[in-house]
Amino acid sequence: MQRLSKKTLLMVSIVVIGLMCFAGLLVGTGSIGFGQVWKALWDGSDATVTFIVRESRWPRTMVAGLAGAGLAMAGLMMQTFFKNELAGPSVLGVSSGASMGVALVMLAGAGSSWVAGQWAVVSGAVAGAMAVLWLVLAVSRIFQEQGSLLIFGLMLSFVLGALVSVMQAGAEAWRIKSFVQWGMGSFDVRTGHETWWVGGALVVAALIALSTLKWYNAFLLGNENARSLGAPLDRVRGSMLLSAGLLTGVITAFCGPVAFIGLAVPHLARGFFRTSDHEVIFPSVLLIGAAIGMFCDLIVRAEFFGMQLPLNAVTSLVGAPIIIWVIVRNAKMKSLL
Amino acid sequence: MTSPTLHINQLVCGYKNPVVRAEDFRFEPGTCTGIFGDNGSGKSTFLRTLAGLQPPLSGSILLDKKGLDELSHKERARKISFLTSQSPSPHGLTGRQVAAMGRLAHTGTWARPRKTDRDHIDKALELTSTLSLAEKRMSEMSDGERKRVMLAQCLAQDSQIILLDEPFAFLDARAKNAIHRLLVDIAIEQRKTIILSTHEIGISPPLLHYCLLIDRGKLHHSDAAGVVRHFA
Repeated sequence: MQRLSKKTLLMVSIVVIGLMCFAGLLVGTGSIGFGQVWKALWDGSDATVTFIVRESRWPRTMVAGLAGAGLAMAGLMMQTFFKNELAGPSVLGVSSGASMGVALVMLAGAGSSWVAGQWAVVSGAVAGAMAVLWLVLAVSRIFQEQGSLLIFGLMLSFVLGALVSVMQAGAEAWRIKSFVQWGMGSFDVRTGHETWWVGGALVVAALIALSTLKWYNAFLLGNENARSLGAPLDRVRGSMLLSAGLLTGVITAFCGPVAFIGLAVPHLARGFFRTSDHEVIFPSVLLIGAAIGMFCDLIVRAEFFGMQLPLNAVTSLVGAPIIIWVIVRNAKMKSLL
Repeated sequence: MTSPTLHINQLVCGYKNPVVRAEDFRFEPGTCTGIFGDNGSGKSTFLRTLAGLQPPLSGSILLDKKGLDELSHKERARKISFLTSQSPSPHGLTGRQVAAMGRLAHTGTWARPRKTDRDHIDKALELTSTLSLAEKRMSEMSDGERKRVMLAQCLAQDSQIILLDEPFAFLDARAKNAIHRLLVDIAIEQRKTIILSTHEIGISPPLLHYCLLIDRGKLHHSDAAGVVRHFA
């Protein structure tokens, strides 16, 4: 019975992702009908429509799905690592670290050509994310209370945010504008490049995580227990942090510091499947993350109030209620982590 | 195949400062040994060191003449299992899932259980009377039930040496007796080497084969009477 419902939910999420993908091709600026989109997919007779569908909407939909899955996975890694339900890229300051790296590149100005700039932005973001992760890890050994760790992460976010605004104050106007736009978050991509970057990071991070996935459940029992069961603790912890840092860094570089997806999706997965078994949660986090990413992007593209809403506003509006639901539910019953 | 003997020699355990010294002790298969001592006397430190979770400050731990530090994580876990005194609560996992982790050192990258693995898990659940908890979530269990599930995990590991730090904590009197007898039976029937720490000076010493006492930072041979006298 339980196995059946898992399978059903898996099928449902795959169907939902398929529908989201297609909706991603239909929704956007300029009214392009269902028939035109369908035609553009199979033959390219109408050049303009074909260009919009294949070169703009398709990569954007892909990036939304891949980034959603990636952020959700980063969130899961961090929640398991810190054994804390409220851990996530945007909570522990990891996104801020990535933003700091990007700010250094975009505001202080490194790399004039686009490709060199892109490399610089990605490296800056990954380095920033990793630096914060290691710092939080180092500090987590001092704090016995997980609550203190979250407050530390929050404070770190504020400090990094403050440094970024100091840098903004001193930067040229055009740099500030592009940085602020980046900061609002967007899955809108200019080239097909981003799909490969984000997709590549997701594959590499997933492989890193899969190499030690079998130990993650044991990790929930505590470090001591995991070690006595034979877990290579340093390798397991390293792979969790590396995959979380890589994903947060690369995705933040291209899509901005996207809030809440990493935090909220693991909760949805645990809530749907009523377990914290990583064999179930890991794949479902990827699927649900992809669906939520594309869903949020659809809301952005639907142009409520006659404009594209900032992605971060949308993810916060979708994600925050989920977190509130988790806290309210936890007040009534024990958590699943 | 000869079962490995655990042999410690001139061992000094501790974090930075020495906590426990143990000169020359052998733990043979088919025996169940109890470690006694006051709170904070270093029982846990000693067991953690034997389990390979904490390097000794000096001295050696030999498993059938091979150094404990020469084993890989997985090799060590196949030879030594360790029940920690902490009661973890991975809320979203079931009793069977937790017990099944005992087989992680025996399975490959994907943790696919073979038939022998499933048999060990079933047997461990049966021995610890936790079959009825197999599908129950850890969050829905009492402290005592959780302790028994963790013990099942330890037994499922099927290691030659079984170390248990306060295995009777949280258990009611009947469960204490039952689990204690079970451990002694396992030691004798399966030729395991069992070492446990406990405060149960009433029920434990008569059941054990050997009693060791940590007194003033040193591990001594003792007996039931000696243990009672120490705590009197």
